[in-house]
Amino acid sequence: MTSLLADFLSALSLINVSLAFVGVMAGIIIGALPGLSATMAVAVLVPFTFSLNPSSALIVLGAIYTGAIFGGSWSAILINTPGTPSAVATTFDGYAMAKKGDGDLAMSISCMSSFVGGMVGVICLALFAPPLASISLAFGPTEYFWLAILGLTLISTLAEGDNIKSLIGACLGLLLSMIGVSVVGGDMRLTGNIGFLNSGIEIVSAMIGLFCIPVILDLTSLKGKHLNESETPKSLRLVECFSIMTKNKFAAVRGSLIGTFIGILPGAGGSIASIVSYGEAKRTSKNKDNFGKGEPEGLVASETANNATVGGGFIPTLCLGIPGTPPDAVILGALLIQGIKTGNTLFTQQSDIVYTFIFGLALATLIMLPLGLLMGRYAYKFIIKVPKEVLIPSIIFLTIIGSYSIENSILNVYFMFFFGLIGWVLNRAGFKASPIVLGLVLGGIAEQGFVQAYIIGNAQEAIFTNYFGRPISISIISMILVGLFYPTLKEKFFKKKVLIND
Amino acid sequence: MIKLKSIIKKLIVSSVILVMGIASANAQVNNIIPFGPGGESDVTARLQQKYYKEMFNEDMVIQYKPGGGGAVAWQSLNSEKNDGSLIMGANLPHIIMQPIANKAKAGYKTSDLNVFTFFHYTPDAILVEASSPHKTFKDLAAFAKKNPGKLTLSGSGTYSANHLLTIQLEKAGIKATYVPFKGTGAAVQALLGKQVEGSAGYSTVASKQGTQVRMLAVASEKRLPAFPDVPTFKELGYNIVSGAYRGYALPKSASLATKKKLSDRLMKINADKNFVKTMEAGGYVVVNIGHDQIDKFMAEQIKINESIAKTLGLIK
Amino acid sequence: MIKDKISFISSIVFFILSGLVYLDATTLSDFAAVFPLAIGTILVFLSILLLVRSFKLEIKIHNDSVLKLKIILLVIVFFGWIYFLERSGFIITSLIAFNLLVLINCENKTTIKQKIFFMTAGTIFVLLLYFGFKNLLQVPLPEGLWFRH
Repeated sequence: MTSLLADFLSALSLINVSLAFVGVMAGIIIGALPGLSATMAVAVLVPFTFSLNPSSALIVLGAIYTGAIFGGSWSAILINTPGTPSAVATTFDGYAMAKKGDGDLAMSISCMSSFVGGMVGVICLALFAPPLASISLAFGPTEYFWLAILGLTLISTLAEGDNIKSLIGACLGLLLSMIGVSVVGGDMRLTGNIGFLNSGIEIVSAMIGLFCIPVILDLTSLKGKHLNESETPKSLRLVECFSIMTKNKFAAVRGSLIGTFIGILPGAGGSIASIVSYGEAKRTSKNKDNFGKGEPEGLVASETANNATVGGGFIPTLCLGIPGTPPDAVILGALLIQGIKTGNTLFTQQSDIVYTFIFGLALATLIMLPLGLLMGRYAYKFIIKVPKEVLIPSIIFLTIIGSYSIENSILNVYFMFFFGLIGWVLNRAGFKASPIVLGLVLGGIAEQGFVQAYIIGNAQEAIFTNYFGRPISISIISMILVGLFYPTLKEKFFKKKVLIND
Repeated sequence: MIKLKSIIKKLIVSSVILVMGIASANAQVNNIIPFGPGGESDVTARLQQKYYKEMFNEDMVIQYKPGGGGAVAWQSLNSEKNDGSLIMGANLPHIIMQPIANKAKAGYKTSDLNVFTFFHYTPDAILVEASSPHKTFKDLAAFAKKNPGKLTLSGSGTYSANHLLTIQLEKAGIKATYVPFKGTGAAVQALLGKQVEGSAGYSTVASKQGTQVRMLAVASEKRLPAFPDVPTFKELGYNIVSGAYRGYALPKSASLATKKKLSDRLMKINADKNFVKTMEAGGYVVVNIGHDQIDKFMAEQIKINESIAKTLGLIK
Repeated sequence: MIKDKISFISSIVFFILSGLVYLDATTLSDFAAVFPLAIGTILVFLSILLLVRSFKLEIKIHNDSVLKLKIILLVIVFFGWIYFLERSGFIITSLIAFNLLVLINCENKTTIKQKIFFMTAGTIFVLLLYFGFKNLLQVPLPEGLWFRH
């Protein structure tokens, strides 16, 4: 116990607190810029951490990571562009709120939600890391496949009115995810001999194009302001924000848990967490019709989930040496160079480093709350006042420099541009972006899980049991069936109850 | 009046940041890694980065250009500056196998890359999870012989070094089923979760995962100093010596002097005892192939890989 | 006859797309072809559904009206910005393109004084981000192939 106290105090050392502070601030700014992802933010900082001791290095990297995931919501809310892929579901309601004039409220809700989600993730990391890590290991290809299917059933909830077009959009997304080298088979698929597509669709530039270009084109052609100013731009609308959070406390907790859980599964990341959490919230909410038009519950669901993946993602990273999310891969590399061996020995033999880090991450998440609220307020006030003449070129500039920076390649910029134009045309034809993104993000997981499960099942000569006989898969399949048929079941069950009471 | 003041304030802030920005640029060499961060290329480059700064007082700036298994970066190498301010990671067998397997779709030819050094390699290895009933490679081989195809081995990608290892084993009579995953992380996850019986990976996996895995055999010439108890395939009677070599390349138009300078610098880092120690602890085998030996080495490697490609049916 | 022209055209487009997917799938090995074929088949099915539906009913899409000229100008400058980025270098291209876009988006009521102010602010913004990305974030922004010796 005393060693925990010592770790706690060392997390509060001047160096560590300043690192956490600077890390969060830098992370928020980098995350807010479209094209600069959390992974990039962490990667840029790694060389500077070599001169630090291991726990301080971890703290600053974790701080930048969590700041960036929160920062991604800024551009999602203000210009409908996810600053990081994990903020994709934040665009659905965040931008709608901003257009209505509730942008400052959205920024504050996002900050509080990110705080809640981040803390839940850290708490799970601190208390339940080893058992959660074993659970993540129990997820094999079959489970990943069924999870992806569960995610895809959310298309029907994300659909707004036109089901056929949403399904077509999802199919399009799934096909897009198959472009490039297939993992099983090694074939080059669907590239049409365009060399650039050999590596597949780069998700960040795709998202920038799909979400931001239509906004720019609409802005330039329509009269009127970009975002309506809120009635009380001076305040942070904290009281209102707080009451919304308490009203949606169930969604907040559920979102955090979904995010933590998806974080512990390597290969799934913040983007999947935010979409799944949003879809689940919409499916079970009383206000489901308001989702997509500026429903705060949707925002809460998305932002709690994506920040929870930070803490959750560290679980397999530290316990198993397998990165939970892409930024974790970079952090693992940094740890290796410092000579830290991850794995079950980390929590026992080097527990000082781990617990100092965990306290530091909690500290960074705590700092993110006031810092984010304050920075957000200034950012909002600033963006609101920028006139369209400068705003539109600035956004275009950001999309260009952002998509270029992803892989230092002009090709991504071209791709972002053309994909964006296609997205705009599709939008005007009635095909919304969210099913396409869902398919794009989940396609790879669904396919790989399916084919790998087949190969393993075939080798063991037990194909059917491999798909349907595994305990975890069975529970996921039941969730899928319940989700699909619950509405009709509810009706029948409800009717029965009434009869009995009579 | 107030408006002017605020404008001046903003101008001052921006100019300060501008100056800071301009000032932080100094002499440096850009090291482009053809993969995403966190992998073996990245980790070893970061280690070199440390020593490079200490030895030559210059920054080595690491940038990532992932895509196509490295192809995206390799396609673009010859349009970069050739004055030595930029080097790009080069990996074997990738730069030989990709043009062979994908032909024109690869976007580059092996001869397009002006490789000037290889500084380490990670030997292939067969690993099992720590609680696996297979205690030695002989156990594993016996299991495979009794149940051909039932031995599932996870690995990263198709036609990768991991995949080629299983093909070499098949030629030697051990018929296993290769299950490809997206990246080493996913393959290791499947191993630790016991979704597969074993994994065809690199020695670095054993180093990273520590006591969670057991390396049964390694495809190096001699036993690795970090793993003295693990036999080599050669010792066990299989002529399998293979792995992934990592080094660097320059644009084709770079001068011989530039090649020599960079090659000598990297070889100097290789000679540092502490560097070698850290590398070996991680499961890497340091090799010293400088610009003067590179042509012969590449010719040998091309021959080896072409024969593997013939077996796979990639070349007629 | 056709109640929903847009859906009609879309269904044809996606039908053709499924055809292309089938075509590509013929070049693939067994495992790699599974998903493309499955999704392609679903897409064919959905396209036919949409086609049939376009004859029967129209689900209205709420699209606001659009100023065609401004959009065309914007798209041209946007594309030009990207096209010239590597050729004339980042700074020059961005400064020219940015200010062009400012002018395009100016409405009739913007005064000359305002226009100059916007363009100056824009220039500072471009330079700020250029140096920030180049030196702080270590992103190698294009220098300009035309200027390379």
